[in-house]
Amino acid sequence: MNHAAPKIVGNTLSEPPHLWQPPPERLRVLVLIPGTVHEFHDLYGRWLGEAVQALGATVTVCTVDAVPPGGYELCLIANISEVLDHAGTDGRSLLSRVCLQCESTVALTWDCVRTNEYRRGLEHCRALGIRRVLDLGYAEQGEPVQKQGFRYDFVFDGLLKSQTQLQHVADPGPERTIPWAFVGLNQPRWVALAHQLVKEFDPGGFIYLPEVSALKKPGAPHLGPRQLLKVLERTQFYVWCSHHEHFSMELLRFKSAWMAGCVPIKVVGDRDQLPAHLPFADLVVRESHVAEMLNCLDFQESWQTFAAEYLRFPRLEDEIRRWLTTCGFVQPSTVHGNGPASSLKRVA
Amino acid sequence: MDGLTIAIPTWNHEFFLPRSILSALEVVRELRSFDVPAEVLVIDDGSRDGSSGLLRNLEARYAGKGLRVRQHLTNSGPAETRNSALRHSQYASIVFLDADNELFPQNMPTLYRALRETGAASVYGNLFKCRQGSSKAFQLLSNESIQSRLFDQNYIDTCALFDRAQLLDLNGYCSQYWEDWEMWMHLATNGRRIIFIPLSIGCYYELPNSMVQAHSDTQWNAQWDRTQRIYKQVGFRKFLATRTEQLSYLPGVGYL
Repeated sequence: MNHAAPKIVGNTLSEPPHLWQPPPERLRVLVLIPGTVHEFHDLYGRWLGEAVQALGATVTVCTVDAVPPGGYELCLIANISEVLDHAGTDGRSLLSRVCLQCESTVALTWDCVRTNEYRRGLEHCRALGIRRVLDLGYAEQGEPVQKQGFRYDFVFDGLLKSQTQLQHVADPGPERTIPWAFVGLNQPRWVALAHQLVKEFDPGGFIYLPEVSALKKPGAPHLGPRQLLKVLERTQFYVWCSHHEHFSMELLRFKSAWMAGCVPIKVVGDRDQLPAHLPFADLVVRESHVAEMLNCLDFQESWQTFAAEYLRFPRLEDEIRRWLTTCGFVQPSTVHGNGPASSLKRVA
Repeated sequence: MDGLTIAIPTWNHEFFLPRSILSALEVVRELRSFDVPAEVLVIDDGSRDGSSGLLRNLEARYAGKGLRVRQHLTNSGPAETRNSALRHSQYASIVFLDADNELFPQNMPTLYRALRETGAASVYGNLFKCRQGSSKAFQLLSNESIQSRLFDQNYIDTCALFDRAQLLDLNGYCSQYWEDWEMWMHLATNGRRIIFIPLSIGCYYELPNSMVQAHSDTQWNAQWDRTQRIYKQVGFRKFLATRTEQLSYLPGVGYL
């Protein structure tokens, strides 16, 4: 079944928002995205919108300053800190007004919840009366969020149906002249790792490690999702390490690799504690072994293994359906497995 | 003539010349394997240590592999030494390599290709900064494209590839200022393009008593005042976009 793409308004407006009136019998979902600060959050918000749309809900994806008038049963906020940063000094009051248009508001996360940055996001939630967090990830990490008094739900961040149908899934193609790509920040640990890869694996790697200040400044040089995709489509191995000390799988990186047909390699410290039963465990590599491992890997074979594992996980649409049903946003009886998306109706 | 000169200006760097020259000769070998003519041109700026004898020996041994040496009888400073390299280079493109640094030869054909494909005045790549005696890098230089903050602080090393004609057209380096930073601003304000290539170009070794570190605060302030007088005398600079703003490029991928 073909589903129309989620309606995107705001800074990517395709038609004036006042023309749009959602059919009231369907679940109306608003996905708020930051807009400009960190394009990857926008992209993720749109993917989530696509997942909800595929289930038959009426979805609007927009920035907080461009929300069309009308009511919504559910508002999903893609990274509340950056949504507010983008909105400027009026951010909180704007978001507060938007929350009044929605019956329920949920803060989304796909990041590590143990960082100071994430705690800052929870403070924003608390101030706005948002008490619910939906975590899209590879492993449940609810404890720190629940301790702060929030309701925490977890869904596995699988692929969208459209993402399973990408042309390169079966064959990522031979035109991959960049042996590895490393994108991060100009900080000693990252620089040392890139240097190690240059010396011990292949000097021809793509290296983009700007200053932190450059990334936070609007209009600063920034490798956004489109530019990164262009690079990764020519890359064999996409390598990175975390920018904080807490373990997290950084699923945006895995998904970026998937979208481009390259193999993700997450580098962890030699002494880092790793959770048991990690997905893609073979692609999580200790720092001191990464060059040695890359020298042994065959790209095509590694891609096939990665693709097979990713495709085995539940699809994002299914996980979102399960969550919506469990939370009571939709009636269980109206949801039929992989059936018609239009069956997703609001609870009366 | 098409091709690349690896220019190594040197002053009293006897102990580091073998490393820089051998890496440059590797670049020549690599480029020649792609049918790109190349040479290494060392300009000794009146060294007083053992550089002179060492360079004579190295030239005798590696002349067939593309090494040439020119000697200044008296020390004339880094700007004039680079201008001397510009005048005596055989080829249309030139890369400057400090005598205490080294290049990664394998990436040079791609960087050279980027310079040719874009028609830029200069292309540069990531330069790893290491401490002398350590094999581990701790910082990247030349790691971002050109932005307006270039007029406040230099973050691009002179280890870069240049279109020699464009540098000569702008009268080369100026000895009254920080010659490398001044050249970037000079190129940018004169409508030339300077492009970041997200590959690694080589290693920069931090040395004790280097010329950069030996600058006193007074000298530093005087040079700062001069460069600000030329490029930022009034507050208009931030409103003027240069033709080189935020350009990144990778052969085979295009502009990013």
